[in-house]
Amino acid sequence: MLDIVKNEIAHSISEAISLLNQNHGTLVVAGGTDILVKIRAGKINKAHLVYINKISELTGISISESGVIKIGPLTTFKELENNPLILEKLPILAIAAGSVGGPQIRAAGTIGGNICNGVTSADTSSSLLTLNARLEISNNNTTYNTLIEDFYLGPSRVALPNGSLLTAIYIDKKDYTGYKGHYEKYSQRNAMDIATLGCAVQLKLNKEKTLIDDIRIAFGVAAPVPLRLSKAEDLLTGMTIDQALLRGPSIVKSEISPRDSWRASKDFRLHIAGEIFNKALKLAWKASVI
Amino acid sequence: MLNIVNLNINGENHEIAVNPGEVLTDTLRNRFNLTSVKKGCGVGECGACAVLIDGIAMNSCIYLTAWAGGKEIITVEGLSKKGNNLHPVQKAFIEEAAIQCGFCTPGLIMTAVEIVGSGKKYSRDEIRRLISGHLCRCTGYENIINAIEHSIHEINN
Repeated sequence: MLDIVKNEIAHSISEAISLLNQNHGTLVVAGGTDILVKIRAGKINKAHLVYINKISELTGISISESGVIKIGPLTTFKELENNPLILEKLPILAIAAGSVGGPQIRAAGTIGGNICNGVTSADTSSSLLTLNARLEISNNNTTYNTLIEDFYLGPSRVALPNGSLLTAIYIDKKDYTGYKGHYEKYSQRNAMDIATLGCAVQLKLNKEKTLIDDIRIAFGVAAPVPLRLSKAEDLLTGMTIDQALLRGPSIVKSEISPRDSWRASKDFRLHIAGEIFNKALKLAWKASVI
Repeated sequence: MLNIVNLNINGENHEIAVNPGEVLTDTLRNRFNLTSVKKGCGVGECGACAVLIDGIAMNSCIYLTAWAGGKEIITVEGLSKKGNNLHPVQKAFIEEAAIQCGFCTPGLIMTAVEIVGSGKKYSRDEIRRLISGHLCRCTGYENIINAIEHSIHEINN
């Protein structure tokens, strides 16, 4: 028996927000793959949960006439990795979602939970950073958008005030058109493992396909929060692939600050940062020149 | 505060009152005697407790029973109910000797039923990835993959 005192099931966004406002200690739960494990481990006691997984307004993936892609926060990793629209327009996100845990975890875990958990190892977060994802947050007065980059405040801390809910994830047409990308996850095992380090690269080439016209780079586990590498992006823009592969590793290493943990040392993480960056860059390049 | 849940287990509707902290593994084992559902790690890492929830293999140890309202749950006991015939996946596991101690087998069979039921054909590498949420410490997985290939072949023909 898990230490849960109340388990309320919300059927609409407004019901969920109203339940969250009644008690500020309430936890939002969707897939449950993290929260239930934390409760079992005694890290959360006397939990009061609001289960949002039955709210149909928070599901589905769609594209507007202007090309804005909307992803419902309840979209599971399994849905993301198999969705035709995601595979066509945002393949990097399908790759990232497919690298999470194992099949049963991907069937339960949601992209919204991955973001709102606020952990640096979240596989979809670095990819969403390279896509300039906008997060729609709703509370009982208003709905507003925030860039995913501004959403991360610190380890397990996100800009989601009490009583509010992540209600949609948007990706604008300009942020995926012309880009090819790859997410490379380094972990000790091929499945059921958390990233030791993760790197997302989105690449846009010039018309002749000889030079980098734009590059977006983000790392997970390279800092307390998922990190976009804007300095490296500026330095690598305009380079050929050979130049970027040669200089890229030292450039990205200078912009990240991974830590020592039982999973891996700082030095090892710095070393693999260069390796997985080059691997992601090569695959993004290959996809671009086909 | 108890939660009242209406759910369908192996084709039968039930209404039960559950404690908010009760996980589906315990409900299935203790209230319904469905002991094919194994308690392994309890944290969603080993797959021994996997059941089908609306046709998708999920770890029942990290799924609260209170969430299962309106859901259709299928366990190994529900596969062979009609006429006591074994499901093709169960037969394939026997024929390919995909079992040693048997603890991981019910969970793997439920995932295999989902894989086979998708109607798609998979390479051995793809099957390996699709069963990567299950730990088997005996077989080395080869015969399990053989059994899944075998049942995909059988069902598609």
